[in-house]
Amino acid sequence: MQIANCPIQRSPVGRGLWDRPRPAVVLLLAAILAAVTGCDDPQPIRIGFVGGLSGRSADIGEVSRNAVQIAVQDVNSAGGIDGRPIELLVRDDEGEPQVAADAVRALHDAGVTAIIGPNTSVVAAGMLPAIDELEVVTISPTASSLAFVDLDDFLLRISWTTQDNARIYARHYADLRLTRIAAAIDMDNRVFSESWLQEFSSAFADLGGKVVATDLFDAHAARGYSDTARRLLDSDPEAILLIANSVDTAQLAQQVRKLDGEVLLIAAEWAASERLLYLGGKAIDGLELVQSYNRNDTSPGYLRFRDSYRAQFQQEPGYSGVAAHDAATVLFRALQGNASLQGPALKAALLDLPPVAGLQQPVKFNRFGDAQRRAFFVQVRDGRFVAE
Amino acid sequence: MHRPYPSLRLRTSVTILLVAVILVTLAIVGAGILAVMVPRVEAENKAVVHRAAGEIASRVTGFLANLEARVVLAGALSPGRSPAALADLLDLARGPSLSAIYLVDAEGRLVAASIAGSSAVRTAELSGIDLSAYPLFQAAMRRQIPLWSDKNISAVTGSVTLGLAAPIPDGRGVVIAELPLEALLAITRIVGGTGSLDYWIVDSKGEVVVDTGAGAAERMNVARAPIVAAGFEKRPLPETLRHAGTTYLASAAYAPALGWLFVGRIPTGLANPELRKIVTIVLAVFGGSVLVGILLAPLWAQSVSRPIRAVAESASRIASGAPPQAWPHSSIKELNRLSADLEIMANATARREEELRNLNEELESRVGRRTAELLRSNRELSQALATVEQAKDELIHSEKLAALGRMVAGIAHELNTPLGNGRLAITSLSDRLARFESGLSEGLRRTELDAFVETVRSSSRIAGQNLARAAALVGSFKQVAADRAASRRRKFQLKEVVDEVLLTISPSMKHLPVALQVDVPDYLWLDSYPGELGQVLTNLIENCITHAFKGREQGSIAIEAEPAEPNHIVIRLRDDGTGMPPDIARRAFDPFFTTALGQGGTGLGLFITHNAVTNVLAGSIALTSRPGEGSLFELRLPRIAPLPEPTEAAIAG
Repeated sequence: MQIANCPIQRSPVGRGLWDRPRPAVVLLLAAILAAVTGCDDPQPIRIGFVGGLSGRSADIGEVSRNAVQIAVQDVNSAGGIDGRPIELLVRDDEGEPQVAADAVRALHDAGVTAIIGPNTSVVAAGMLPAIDELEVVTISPTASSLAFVDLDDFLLRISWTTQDNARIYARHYADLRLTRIAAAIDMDNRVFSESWLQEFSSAFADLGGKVVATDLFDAHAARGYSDTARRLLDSDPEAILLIANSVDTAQLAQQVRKLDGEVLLIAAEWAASERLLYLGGKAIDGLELVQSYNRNDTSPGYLRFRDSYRAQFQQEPGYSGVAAHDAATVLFRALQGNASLQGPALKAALLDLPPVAGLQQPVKFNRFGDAQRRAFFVQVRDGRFVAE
Repeated sequence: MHRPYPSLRLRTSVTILLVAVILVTLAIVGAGILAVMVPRVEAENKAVVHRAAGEIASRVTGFLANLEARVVLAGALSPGRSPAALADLLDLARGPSLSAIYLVDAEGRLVAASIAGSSAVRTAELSGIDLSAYPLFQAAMRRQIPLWSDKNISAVTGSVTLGLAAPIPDGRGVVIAELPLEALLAITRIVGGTGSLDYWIVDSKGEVVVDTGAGAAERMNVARAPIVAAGFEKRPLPETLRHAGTTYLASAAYAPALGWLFVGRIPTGLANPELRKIVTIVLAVFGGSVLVGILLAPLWAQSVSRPIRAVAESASRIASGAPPQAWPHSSIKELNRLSADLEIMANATARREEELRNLNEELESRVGRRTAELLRSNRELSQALATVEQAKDELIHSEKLAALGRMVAGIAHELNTPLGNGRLAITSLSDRLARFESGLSEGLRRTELDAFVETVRSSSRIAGQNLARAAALVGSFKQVAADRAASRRRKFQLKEVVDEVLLTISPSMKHLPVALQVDVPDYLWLDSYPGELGQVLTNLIENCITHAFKGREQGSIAIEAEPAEPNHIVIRLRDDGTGMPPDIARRAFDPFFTTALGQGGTGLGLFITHNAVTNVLAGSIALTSRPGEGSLFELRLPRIAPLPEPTEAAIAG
């Protein structure tokens, strides 16, 4: 028990235990309660994390959580914010919007100052009503659907939008003289994937290209990935664009490669996790995609983060880790000197921040709480991401 | 300064007392229970936790070993089978607990799979996909032993699972089986039992694979928790674990076969349900008792205070003088005794009061009677006093008349002698003259004429001498009388007054055998009242003559005077008479005191003397006497008498 270590906080009234009977009883009960409950250190600042830690997007969720955990550890070992340690409360959204919405309420009840997460747009869309109702400032590292853009809400985003991204992809492949692209889009995250495809299609069309086939696939459906692969290949594309998470991207690539060894495989930035490499095997060799971070960065700040991430979690941080760390950094900066900020005040403080140095690039929210990221094209070669 | 304590009603006081007793008792009992139970529960928990981690580790490991054996067996049985037979084998090996099992050849190509809840199309399309980069496959191929993965994303379903890779003998590939986290959680819960004990199963990266507690939705990485780090590094374990704001008693057991750490934990303090239950029960008993106390105490206090209040009211009634009522009785022995004693006391008081009242009335009537008697005797005394005063005045008046009579008799006697002598001379002269005339006719002879002339000469000389003496006497009387009557103040020679007194008194002393010796110097002068002084001396001498020499052949009276300081003279009048016994001497100056009552004494002589000396002459008089040794009167007089009071002067004037 901790009784011995606890300085019992003495009430200023009543010096002696037996001065008056009633204060004595109160004091006694207080002492008992204090002894039983133990006594706490300075009130911690509670920060919530919501992300997919099981389910098909568990890879980027886990990486984000780990990165936030490192950010929290760093702040706490430096004495916390204004002397108050940060306590991280983690919730698994299981990739389900409703579960995530429940998690927001649970975290709000637990008294969190803000939430970092989620990673996917569909989950973010599910959380949004709860976030705005409870006015819990939520910073998503990776949610990028255009549905969240230019909304004055309590959801702030670190990453670019699907529009930005899709246009980068369109320009890139138009520059490579590709004109026929077939696309597979994930039904589980339609908010993201349909938005992404729509932006890409119009941008690509503007540049003279064409999306010749699309297939909305359902990972849980009986027909399997081979059916999608066949349909897309039937349109005789120069490249197949996979707008899906890493698992589905790997599975689709496997099925495509079984049917066609030549067609160029392109993946949306969502899939750009280490897990893609494990599951894709030889099937993803040559697959191209954009990452929002420079995995070959040698800046000291990034290397320090990467090394401690590797040491602690025995894997690579990945884009969702970098973004989540930046989200935590900007949140802690806003709380610095005013650790009790919450809700609208915290949001205003975040929007008023000057550009904050992230791991690889500065973060600055616009008045709707949206930020911009740089894009880095990478290709998978021999089971590794290689910058082009 | 002392503030007076607010006085409470008995009922309130008893209520507070009862509630306070309940509170204090329960607080002490509750604190005692907590003081005993809390450490005991903590100690029990510590023991339970200490055992728990090892037990759960061995049980879960045992369960997984069974699975592993099945998967290894499936791998061993797989070579040389047709695809259909292989599918059947894998379905059999998957059983109810595994979510997927698939066979990968040495090149990393998936050969066959059995996946729970998956469609045939899906299962079929998996064949031929490349898993050569899959870490679990790589590890199993490299080490050629069955390996359990950490938390792992399934290569075939995308779910987060635990993977088991069992190499097929002779390097022909790997069988990979996947166990859903939910299944492991269920197993852990089953073998871990119920209660407040919870478990983490932590993989080698620190990921919480299983959390049987409420934090199942938190998929934490706890690599940095001290107990986890210590468990993996085989260091001594800390006894407690702090996680998400709660402190736990914890222990950990490392399972080398899995590379996982099993952490058992029980919340400490109020977070522990058992302790919370105890504290809740204590608080509930406390609260319930307080409630019951608050509800019952006033009733009890009422029943206790009612008889006391009744006794107090009866006492108040008696104190305010109202007649006593029936004395209350209650179930409390002491109160009954008090009531009875008060009744006895009240009755005794009433009785005594009655007696006192009677006594008082009697006393009052007695005092009234006495007062009336006293008033009457006072009145009678006042009358008697007035009578006595009147008698005194009359006596003084008669004494004065008597003194005047005596003086007149003295004067008459004194004058009688010279006047008689003169008459006798004149008578004898006229006889001689008649014989001379007759002889003249017969012829006158010379001898006869010479004899006649001689007779005329001697007779006229005698007559003249006696007439002169009478005239001197008259003059002197006149002087005395005038002084006595007027109390006139003047300057005079003491000796002169003494001589006059002796002259006045000498006729009455002529027949007495008393010798008077006077030794008064000429130079003693006074400015005083000679009449009063003469009276005083006369009275003293007469008193002497009357009383001092009774039955004596002879006696002497000596009068002497001498000056005395300051500015006084002393006159002493001494006799060698019979003297006085002390009781007579003491009362000699009292009015109406006389030893010669019925013999002409008035008892006022010395009283008047005393008054004159003290009041008019402003001096003092003292008497010294003993029987047989004579008496001495000593007057002490101022040479200059003080002026009389104005009223007296007016009266005198």
